[in-house]
Amino acid sequence: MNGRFAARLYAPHLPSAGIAVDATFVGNRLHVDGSDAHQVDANAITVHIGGFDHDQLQLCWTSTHGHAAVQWALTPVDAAALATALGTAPAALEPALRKFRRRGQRMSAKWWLLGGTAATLVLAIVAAWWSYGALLDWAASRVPPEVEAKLGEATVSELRKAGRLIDKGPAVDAVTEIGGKLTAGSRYQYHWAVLDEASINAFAAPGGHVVVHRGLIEAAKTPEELAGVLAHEVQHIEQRHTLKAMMNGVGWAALSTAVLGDVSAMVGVLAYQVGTLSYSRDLEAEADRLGLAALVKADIAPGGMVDFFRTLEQEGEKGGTAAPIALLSSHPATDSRIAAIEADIARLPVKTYPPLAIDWSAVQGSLGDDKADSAAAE
Amino acid sequence: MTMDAIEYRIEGDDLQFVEIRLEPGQCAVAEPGAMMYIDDGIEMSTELGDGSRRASNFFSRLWRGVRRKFSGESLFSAIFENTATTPRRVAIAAASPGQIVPIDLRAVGGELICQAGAYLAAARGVEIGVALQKRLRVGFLGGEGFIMQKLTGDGIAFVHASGALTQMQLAPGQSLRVDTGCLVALQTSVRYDIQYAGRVKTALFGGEGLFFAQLTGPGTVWLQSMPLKRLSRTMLGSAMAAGRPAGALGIVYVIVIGIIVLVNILRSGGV
Repeated sequence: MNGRFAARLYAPHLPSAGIAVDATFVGNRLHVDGSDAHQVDANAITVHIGGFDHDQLQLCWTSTHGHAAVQWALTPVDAAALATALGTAPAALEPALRKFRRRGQRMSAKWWLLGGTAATLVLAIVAAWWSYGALLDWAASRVPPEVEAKLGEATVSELRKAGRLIDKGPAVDAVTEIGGKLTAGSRYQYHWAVLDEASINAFAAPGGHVVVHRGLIEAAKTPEELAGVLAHEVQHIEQRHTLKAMMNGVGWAALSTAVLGDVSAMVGVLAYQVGTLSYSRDLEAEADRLGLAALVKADIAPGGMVDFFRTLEQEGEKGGTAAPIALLSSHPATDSRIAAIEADIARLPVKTYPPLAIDWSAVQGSLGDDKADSAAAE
Repeated sequence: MTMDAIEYRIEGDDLQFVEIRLEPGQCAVAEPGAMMYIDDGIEMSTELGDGSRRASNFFSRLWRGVRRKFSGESLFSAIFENTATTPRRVAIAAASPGQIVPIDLRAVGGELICQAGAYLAAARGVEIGVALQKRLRVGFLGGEGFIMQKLTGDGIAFVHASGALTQMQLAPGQSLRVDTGCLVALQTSVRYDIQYAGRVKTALFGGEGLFFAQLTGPGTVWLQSMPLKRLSRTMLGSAMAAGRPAGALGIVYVIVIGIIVLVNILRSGGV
């Protein structure tokens, strides 16, 4: 091995692509053969990293060519020539060459880092997608009960101030009795109330507030039907659905803004709607499922839940009902939903449930009086 | 690999085309859709890949096509072959205002890196590949992205870029700072890096962006005076200023938002 390596020699007066030369390190000097033969002292050579990929070793030096100083550069043509050049270079060039050797490692390390970060990000997104429910559960569980109570109180106090909340009477007693059975052992302090409103609806506010519209009690044929609705609403509170829906909404809003930017606000709003709507359906289904379990646990016939939807359907078909069925706008009594509840019921062990000991006609009858009472009280 | 040596003539000032004279049996390869006129006796065909004779089977041609696609060209190449017995002409036009530069690949060491989409036409045998930018900061901030074109061969390649083009030979160690995006092509021996513009004030108000592309010799570089990005920004600006009524789309937008709000109000009846 004579240490000779093929290289290209560049200089201002040479062609742009340089000229092919042979080079050898002899002692402390670099010998360049070819048409422009000359010798350079290693101490005069500086090492540069050049080329488009920053992977070319360039040995540079200055010489006087005629009168002016001329910049020269010498680059080994291929990997074999590079290896020879690196192997035979004198000790004087060693520190500079070490830097060249390290350059490749640094670059690949950067790419690994970038790839790793990207992969981690993708994994995190996939994981978040998979455990989205669990993530929201966790976030909701971070909210202290006092905050929930305040949220609920704010909702209900508006109604109470308007004087439309019925706090006592047989109807409230009935709701409280059934509700008490369904919420035995709960960590929340429940407040039951009836709203003097002819529409058929019921809602739950966080922290244990359940409000049933007068119209719903009048429409329900049995106390079990009321129990079915209550069981569903109670699960919204127990599972902190309001908080989760709020967080989900905020999450979707943030996501659509982040992904779509301000440019397509319309698309952003649509994405937000789709995201929140599907999540709200998930929550409704969960409330149905867990409500059914709560009914069974409380020893109340679970069929009431389905029966009430049937009652609503009949009401709707009859037409001309004075009470708008507001419940259906947020709780669509779709066939698939009824079918899902019925399937859950069918899976339960067959059992006869004791009827609720409530004089239902008295409860329904009392509402007219209540109304009169509250009107008189005002 | 042997190349078809071709004669050519570049016509026009700012909107140029190149007329290539093909000897009998010679071929030229161009981007599909760039043809302007051809003489009788020129057979035009389309080939998957870059039309270089090296690609033999379908998959290697497809692979070349995909590589071309990534570098901003078409999956296919248009091949013009002179099947007559006398020399014939093919004219290939540039798609945007600018200049066509013939680059003899032999004179730049057989390899040339150029801006994605800069390749216009070449003698048959020139390979068009991808030059992946391995340096992150140059890829992100250098103005040319991570993918550039690599032309390999020893014939003439026609490169096109918008604005006026200039060629510059850099001596070993000679360095040139270029606005990002103005770089059209460079020899592989040229070091391509980025450099911070220097002062915050200059970076913010100098109008040149935060970084310059830094080109260090030895080697030749080609620069363009008007990157397409800059041109389209100017055009878009004046197009937008030409008057923008709310328009039908704006009304549709308001209606959709209204419906969504309405639905929300209706839905908030119960929890």
